[in-house]
Amino acid sequence: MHIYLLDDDPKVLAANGFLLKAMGFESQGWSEPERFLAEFDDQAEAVLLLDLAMPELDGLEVLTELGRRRCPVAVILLTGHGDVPQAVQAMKLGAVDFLEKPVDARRLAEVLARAQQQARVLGEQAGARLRVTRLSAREHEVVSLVAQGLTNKAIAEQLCVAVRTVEVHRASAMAKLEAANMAELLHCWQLSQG
Amino acid sequence: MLRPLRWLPCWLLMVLPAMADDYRIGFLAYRGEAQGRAEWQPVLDGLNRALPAHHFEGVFLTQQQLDRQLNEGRLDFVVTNPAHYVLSRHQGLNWLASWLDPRFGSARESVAATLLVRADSGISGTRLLAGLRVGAVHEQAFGGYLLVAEQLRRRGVAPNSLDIQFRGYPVDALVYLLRDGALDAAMVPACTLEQMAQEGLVNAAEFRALMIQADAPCVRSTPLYPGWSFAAVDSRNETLLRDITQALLAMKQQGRPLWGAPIRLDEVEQLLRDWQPDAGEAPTWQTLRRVLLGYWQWLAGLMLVLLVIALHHVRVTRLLLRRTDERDRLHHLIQSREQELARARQATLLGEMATGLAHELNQPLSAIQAYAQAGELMTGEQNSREVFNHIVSETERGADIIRRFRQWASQPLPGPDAFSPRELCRELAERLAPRARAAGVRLDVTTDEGVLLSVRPAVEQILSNLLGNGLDAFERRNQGGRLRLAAARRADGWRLTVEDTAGGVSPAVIEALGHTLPASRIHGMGIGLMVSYRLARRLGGSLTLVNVGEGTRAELFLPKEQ
Repeated sequence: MHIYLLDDDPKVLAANGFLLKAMGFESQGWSEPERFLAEFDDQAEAVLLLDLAMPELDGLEVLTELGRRRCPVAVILLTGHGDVPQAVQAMKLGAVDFLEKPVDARRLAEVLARAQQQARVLGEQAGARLRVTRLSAREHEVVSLVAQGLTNKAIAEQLCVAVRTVEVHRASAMAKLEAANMAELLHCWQLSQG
Repeated sequence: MLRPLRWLPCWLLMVLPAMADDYRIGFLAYRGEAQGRAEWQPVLDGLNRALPAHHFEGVFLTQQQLDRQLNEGRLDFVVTNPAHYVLSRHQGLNWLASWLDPRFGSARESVAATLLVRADSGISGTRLLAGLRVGAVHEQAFGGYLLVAEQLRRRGVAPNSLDIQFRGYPVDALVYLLRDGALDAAMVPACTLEQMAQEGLVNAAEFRALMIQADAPCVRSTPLYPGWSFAAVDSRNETLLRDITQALLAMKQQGRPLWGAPIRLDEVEQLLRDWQPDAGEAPTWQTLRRVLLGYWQWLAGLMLVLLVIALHHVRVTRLLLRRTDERDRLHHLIQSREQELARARQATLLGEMATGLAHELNQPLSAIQAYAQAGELMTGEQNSREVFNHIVSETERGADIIRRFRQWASQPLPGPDAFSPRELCRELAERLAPRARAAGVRLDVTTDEGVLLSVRPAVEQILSNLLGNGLDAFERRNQGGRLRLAAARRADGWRLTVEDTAGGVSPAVIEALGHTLPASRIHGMGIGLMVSYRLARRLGGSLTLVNVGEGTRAELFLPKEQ
């Protein structure tokens, strides 16, 4: 999994990269938020160690942009002292946690593990969303009704089609969502909705 | 003893019970003995006729001679003017009758005096007499001095302003001296001139009177006073006194009585009383009275003007005092507000510097910590691990110090309050008005009505900083202009604008202000501006700075909901 570092101070960037390397993680660093947003792989699951106080674009704006793009990137904020209100806002925007500088390696390792977990979830969600987009409009409708717990018969009645037609749409949807069974179908659907 | 002997045959012939006696009657002869004798002989004769048992002899004397003979006890009776009578009362005079002057016919009003000048002299009024030679008989003469002097005094002419020459008796001499030019004016008893003219001594047309009073048989310059008195020196022989009084009252000339009952002499006494104590002070009073009467309208007007001026002065003084107090009070108020603001600005600045310092120091600390922790992870050697461990804990200690310093330096803002931006703007404008005036800057304030929920001291500090920066710029350029302060209510909050025409600010400052930068990275920006920017952010609002036209516009936006 990728680990990105974004900090306007190159020296700090290098030091944190070195620390991550010592902890066994490869990382990629940027010191300019714009360039980071332009260059990073927004489809890949990743963890971002984000400095809150930066010129031009501050950490919160970067975080907002990531959320807007629905990137599978889990964000850990690095803050100076006393930026509590901004940290709270960052948590609301979906950051995993925030660490006060200077960063303690043990806490970093722990938070990093959680972030990777979340990145994976975000990745799955992204995958599920991608798969759901493959569904036709009718299949989408059928799956949403299935997720509400309706039987094929009930769905057929509600959509005014034959039960058989419902079964065909359902099978097609399961194939498109790469679900082997009913449980996987529902899991994928829920991920895509979250 | 000789005289009784001489009259003895007569006395024997008359066979009167009482002893015949000689009596000396002293007459005041102001025109000289001859004139006096001529005037009073009928009276003497009348008495001698009426009381044949006694012999009355007349002596005609000047006032001083009369006084002397009275003192020496050589007179039995006195006929004199009322003033002299009053003056001589201590001699124990007993008043028998008052003279009814045939010319006036009344005892009450029969003596007056005349102030004469030559007809051809240019002296038309009493004022022109000052310094001139004025003749009088004697300082105690009634008609010959006192009456005229009193009259002059009443008219504001002080006797001591004249060159008064007392020439002594007889009065006639004064008239001659006046005629011959040895005097410029003469004080004589009324009727003297007429008598002298009648006797062919002088030509009345050569003279003229001053201060002429109402018609009377003789021209006169004074009112009429009570006439002459017949008085007895010794009053023990009451029978004689009664006989003499009867004889006097019975005397007639051309069917008219010559003597009447004694009358009061209050007026004369009053005149003498007024005259005696101080002859110099009264004229001043007289002058004052005359001036007051003559110019009272002017004096009243002058007093009114003075009163108005005094009132105006009092009013102006009171206003001045009140305004001085007011100004002092305002001055104190402004000073204390300025001090408060300066303290608040310092506190904010300290907080900002602490924040900046903390951030700046935190960066290298972060790097050190990261390297140390990396080193600790990477090395297998026990000693090195220990060293790295120490570095990590020291770094943390440093970070703690910075944290505590920052907490100490940055005070939290007080809670928000509802206040009126209009009132705040007005207060600020009032406080800055003197400075703006001095710099030639017109200060315009436009505000909306309404209430803003925010931290008033912080908003005040921001606006005060912005206005102060504007005025600083004007003062630096040494050029006046316009400074506008506006508070506009918008749907989403309040927009407070400070706009000047002082030439604008460097774009670098505007750019630097847009960034969330620590203090040390802002170069060339006023501390006030930086503090204002941070404060605005802490208030949940924003501060933007743009150059417009020939100046700068700073906009502080404070949202309704934070």
